[in-house]
Amino acid sequence: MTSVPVLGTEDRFDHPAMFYSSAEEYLEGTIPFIETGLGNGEPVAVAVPEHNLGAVRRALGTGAERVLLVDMSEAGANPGRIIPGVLRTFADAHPGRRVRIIGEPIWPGRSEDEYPACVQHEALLNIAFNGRPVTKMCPYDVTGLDRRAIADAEATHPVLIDRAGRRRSDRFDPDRILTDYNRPLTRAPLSAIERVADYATLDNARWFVTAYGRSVGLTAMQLIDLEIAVTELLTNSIHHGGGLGTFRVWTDRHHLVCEVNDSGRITDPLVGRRPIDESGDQGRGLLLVNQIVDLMRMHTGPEGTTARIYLRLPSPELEPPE
Amino acid sequence: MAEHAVGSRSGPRAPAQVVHPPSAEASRSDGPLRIAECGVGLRVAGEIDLNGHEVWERALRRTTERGGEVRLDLSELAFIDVHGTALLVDLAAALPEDRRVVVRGAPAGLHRVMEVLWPGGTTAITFEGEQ
Repeated sequence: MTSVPVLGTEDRFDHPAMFYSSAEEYLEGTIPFIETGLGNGEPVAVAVPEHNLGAVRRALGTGAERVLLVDMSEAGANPGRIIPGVLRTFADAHPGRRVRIIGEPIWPGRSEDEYPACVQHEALLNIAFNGRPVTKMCPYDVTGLDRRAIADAEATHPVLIDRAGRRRSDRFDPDRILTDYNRPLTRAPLSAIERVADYATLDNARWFVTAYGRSVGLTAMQLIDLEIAVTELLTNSIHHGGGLGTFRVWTDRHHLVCEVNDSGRITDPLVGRRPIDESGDQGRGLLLVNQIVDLMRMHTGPEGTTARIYLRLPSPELEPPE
Repeated sequence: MAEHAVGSRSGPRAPAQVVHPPSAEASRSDGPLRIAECGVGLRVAGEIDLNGHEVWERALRRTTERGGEVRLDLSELAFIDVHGTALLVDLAAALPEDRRVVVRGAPAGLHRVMEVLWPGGTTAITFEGEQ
């Protein structure tokens, strides 16, 4: 179950999915992969949800000290944050060296709102790391995930690993995934408050949304994030989206939700996921938003662009996802 | 202290007709962007967003061109966006090695943007006071 870098392809992005159906298979798939990397002298990072992280840590024993362990349920809650905040940060810290990463962005319990952003992230990895010396294996829990998630994994990964071994994916087609999942977001509820902001009313829009956030109980820290996030989204609309943005704000059971719609179209699929030095102004704003919200979803097309952000409502009865 | 106003918000602002805060306790900032030269730096009040970028950049340039340490009093600044922060970071980074920007009273949002987008910090900017 170990993955072997192919000779003569030093800068190749190696991106297998690893399908596991038990805790034992998880460790059989991940531990040798990690140990091979350590044996090669490669920097190794493991970014997986907490329960799996604990199992990996225990199985590695003292070897865990040489591995960067990241709780993906926290660091990757918003999938748009994973490339810039976790993966590029780690890869860029080791220039000129192959790095080895286990990344598990999709697990049972990801919500319907989160899932499309997770798949988009998996597809975008192939663009973000194309030609880079990165080996990244993505574990998939085949017993806990539905068939759609497994079929999507076959489209976002060029190589698949399971009990039977390692094989090329016949269904590899990340562009199709990006097209398929770039679909209009569900409509805002009728209860949503809708306003328009332009150059002259941007500040008022910021105050309005922040006041709404305060009225639904966001923390002081979240209000700062909300204020910045809505400003950046509307600034992009004003600069790139026809001079104004329509924003809507509401709450669902667990979140304050705010979306900004404009008539612009985003053409860079990695916007908001490139490191700051590789981002223009629009990208910097979205990079910031990606890192401070609990989820960002986006739809862009000839009719315009909608960016929707979610901030978790503080709620004592809210249980963390399983 | 003699102060010389070097800028205000460029262009008139339409009164708030499109959006209205839902309640009187909505946190309106204390007015438009105001930048005053004071001593070896600037005192900034209000909010910096796309309406204030030009004025902010011009004031920063003028004060960094004078040489020596640059002191920014941001204790009356209620908000600064990513581009406004980037202007400060870029200008500070372009200073010669022996010079720096000392920021006092930065709003929480500035710290937040810096921590997320420039997590390593920047040696050319020193924060003084709270936080």
